[in-house]
Amino acid sequence: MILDGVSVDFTIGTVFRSRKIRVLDSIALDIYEGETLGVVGESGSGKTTLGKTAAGLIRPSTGRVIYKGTDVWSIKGDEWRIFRREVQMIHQDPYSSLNPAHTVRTILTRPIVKHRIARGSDAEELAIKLLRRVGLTPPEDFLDKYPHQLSGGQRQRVAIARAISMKPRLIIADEPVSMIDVSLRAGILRLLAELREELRMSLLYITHDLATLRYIGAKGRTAVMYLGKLVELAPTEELIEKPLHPYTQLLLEALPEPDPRVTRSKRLKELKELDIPSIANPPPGCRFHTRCPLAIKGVCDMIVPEMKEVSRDHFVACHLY
Amino acid sequence: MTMANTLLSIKGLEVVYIAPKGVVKALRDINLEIYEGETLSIVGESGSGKTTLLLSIMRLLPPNSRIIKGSIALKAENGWIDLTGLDENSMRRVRWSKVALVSQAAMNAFNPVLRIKDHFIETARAHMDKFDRELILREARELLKLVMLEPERVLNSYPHQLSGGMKQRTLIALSLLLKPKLILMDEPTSALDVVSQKIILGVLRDLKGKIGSTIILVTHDLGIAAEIADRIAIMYAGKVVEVGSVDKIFYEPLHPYTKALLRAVPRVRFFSEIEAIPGEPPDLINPPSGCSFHPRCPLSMEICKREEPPMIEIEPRRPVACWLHAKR
Amino acid sequence: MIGGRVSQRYSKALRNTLRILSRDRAGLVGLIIVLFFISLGTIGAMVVNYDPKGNPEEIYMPPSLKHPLGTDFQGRDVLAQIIYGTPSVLQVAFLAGALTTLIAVLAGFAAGFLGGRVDATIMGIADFILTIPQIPLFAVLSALIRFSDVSFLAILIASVSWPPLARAIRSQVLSIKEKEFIEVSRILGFNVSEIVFIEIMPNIMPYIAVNLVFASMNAIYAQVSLAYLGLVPFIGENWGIMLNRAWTFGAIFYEKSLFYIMAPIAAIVILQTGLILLSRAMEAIFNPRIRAE
Repeated sequence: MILDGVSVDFTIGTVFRSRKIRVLDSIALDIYEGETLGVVGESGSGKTTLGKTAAGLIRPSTGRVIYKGTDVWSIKGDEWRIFRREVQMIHQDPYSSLNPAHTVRTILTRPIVKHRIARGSDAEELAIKLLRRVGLTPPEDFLDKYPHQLSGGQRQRVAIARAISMKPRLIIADEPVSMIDVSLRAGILRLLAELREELRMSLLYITHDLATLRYIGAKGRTAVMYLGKLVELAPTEELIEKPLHPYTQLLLEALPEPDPRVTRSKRLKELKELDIPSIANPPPGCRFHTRCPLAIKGVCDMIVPEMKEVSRDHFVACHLY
Repeated sequence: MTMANTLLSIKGLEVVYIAPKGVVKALRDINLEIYEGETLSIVGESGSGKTTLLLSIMRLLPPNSRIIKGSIALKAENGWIDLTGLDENSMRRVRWSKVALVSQAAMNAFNPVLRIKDHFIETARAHMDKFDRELILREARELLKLVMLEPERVLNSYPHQLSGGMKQRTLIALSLLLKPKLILMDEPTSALDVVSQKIILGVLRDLKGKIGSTIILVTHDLGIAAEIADRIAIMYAGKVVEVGSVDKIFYEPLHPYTKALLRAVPRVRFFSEIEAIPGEPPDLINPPSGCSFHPRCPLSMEICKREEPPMIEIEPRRPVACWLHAKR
Repeated sequence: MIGGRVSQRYSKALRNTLRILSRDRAGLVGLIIVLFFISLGTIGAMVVNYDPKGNPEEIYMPPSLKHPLGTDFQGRDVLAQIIYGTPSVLQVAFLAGALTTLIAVLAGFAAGFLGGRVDATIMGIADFILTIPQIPLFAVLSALIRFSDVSFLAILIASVSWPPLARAIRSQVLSIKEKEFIEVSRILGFNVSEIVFIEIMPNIMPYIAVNLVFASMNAIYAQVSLAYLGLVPFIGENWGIMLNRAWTFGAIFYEKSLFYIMAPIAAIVILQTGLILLSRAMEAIFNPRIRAE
């Protein structure tokens, strides 16, 4: 999938007085087959919007979302149905991603039947197989349950089962474990990693937690977002070992590690400003310049930096390079 | 390190919630000592009872819950006060002036029709017999600066004009206004971005020394605990299973749950294989017999299923509740 | 095969309904009361004899075996009047209730789901109707229109009762629309009608079912009040008409006519009580979360 110069504007306000806010600005990102692409950003960075745009839920105001060579918003009919099947999403909140009025059976079999993957009792057989694969055993016990009878981790597994029932080529996972208990996260992450290998899917993993990203995306690339723009893109390991963009460096220094010696030795560089600017009124030039300790007056506050390849496969949007 | 004195002593605390499905045993026999000047981080997952513990100390439990046993003794000028035995009026005098609470719920308690500066003034008025308005406002400005907020702007704002992160920081400043001896915090950085979080945790670390407060910080995030705690108490299924200094807990954990928890958390700095803890968190209406961790414990023995392990101090101030360490 | 699964689902639904009613005594009582009135209106009307001409010798007689609730000012049997009035009361009630709910559901869904100008238009109409004082409206309409059909009254009542319910349904639709499982349905390629009927509707069904009962109750009050105030030109024995006559012919001043007045009032109160009790069970019947307990 290619996000080519994608920008997304949201309109806020009432029918009579509205304003446009550019939530994503000129995103250019490629997602390759079979790779795990991490997207890291804090709340307000636009990462969730990026995920929804890639999933075809939000139409970009400028730019195109290209899947397998065609613009996603110009395909119809069978091609559209294929796109809808092959790109799936897993949400952050297991409590609202399952319809509370449906049983697990309904939740799993309806999409299977809709996409003509199986019918009737075959669909139910498939649902049982899927439940077993995601670790919900004995599967028959789960079919008649309603979401409110399941724990958060179990619901998330049902959501995963639903996604893989479509045999997707790309799964967009938006903070899939942030609402799950810490001790159970590894299970869900491991499940995603296994399924990724088995089904040879691409995974777009959106999060603010670099630690879980490192675990699941170690072999892939990661993009860092700030206030609606991409600021750095590199292989995950390299991004974490040798971050180039000051924001990425800041993020890595600030992340608390479950290791007292490591986390207390991390010192934050002096920040000019603590508050993150509003996305409605982004700073001119490089959006990070208001907080960047290395900002160059006259350059960073006026000119928007372009993404440049600084070393092999490592892109940064920063005037320092 | 000199042996600090005990500030808060919790003994045998049991708290239940009455839910439609049954009686939830949220806290089962909690015994914990908190020493003056320390930062104790209580770490646990959902259902461990950590939030209930804070609410019990502040006596802010919801109407469907009860403290059925135990004592919470706070050291005061002239002896000990048992917080569980206080009536509402006395408790109100304790709250905020001696014990402050910073939590998600408290953030919603900002009065929407009062400006922030009025919040500071009202808080002072409620707890001090005489107060100098100017002095309070000066204090407020200092505190707001400490949490990296613009004092004038924030003081003149209404709560709805502040972002979640700003409100959370304002609440922290407000909690420090009366220089309470004990500050309880429940995920105090949840609304903050990662950078603010690191800075505020640093501020808290430095500040408590200056004010002489003791902090109990409840979190599920081991990273936050590693960042700020002097000692850590690990809770599971309504009980405290292990307590120790931050180094001891992270580098020499004793309880199997602690060890499993450390194995389940991924790290950024280096790739580590993480392992989930098998099974599900226990049902607190019908907790497992014996040690409540035994269904998920890789080292469980016969006795673990039958009897609850006692809390035993392996070393001074290093209690563990596990049969593996009880044979002493 | 499909027929088999459908009938399986219905029998399961029936079993669940009976199970809930057996546990919720109040709901069961409610159902019994409502069924009682229905049978009163259907079978009763056929079985009981009623002589509209009356018997001047039997004016305002106290209850007896022949006249269990006494007689009215013309010697007519009160109980028979109640029974004969039941069909029209029920007809208007359920017809108006169903129409109100239907219009409110259509309007609320359209406004909530489609948003934008459709939403603004529908809510504008709703607000407008809410501002019209209803009794004077009926007074005017009844002066202008001669209607003798029960259905017309039902339509009239429905046309002014739907706005509040529509508003409520609209809010529900709005809040559900934002939930992530709706987004998932979009990603899975479900079309609009599938999303509306299969994803959203089951979540609102309990609310709709309960409000159907409420709408019927409102319709009963509406029609009885209108009849009592003489705003509805009627033939027949609607309970409201009975009250109207009681008032007009001075029955309230006479102690012997107590039953004549109390009978329709009691009938109204008992029926409404039955409906309220039934509404409580409706929530449980239609809500899968409660049903599964």
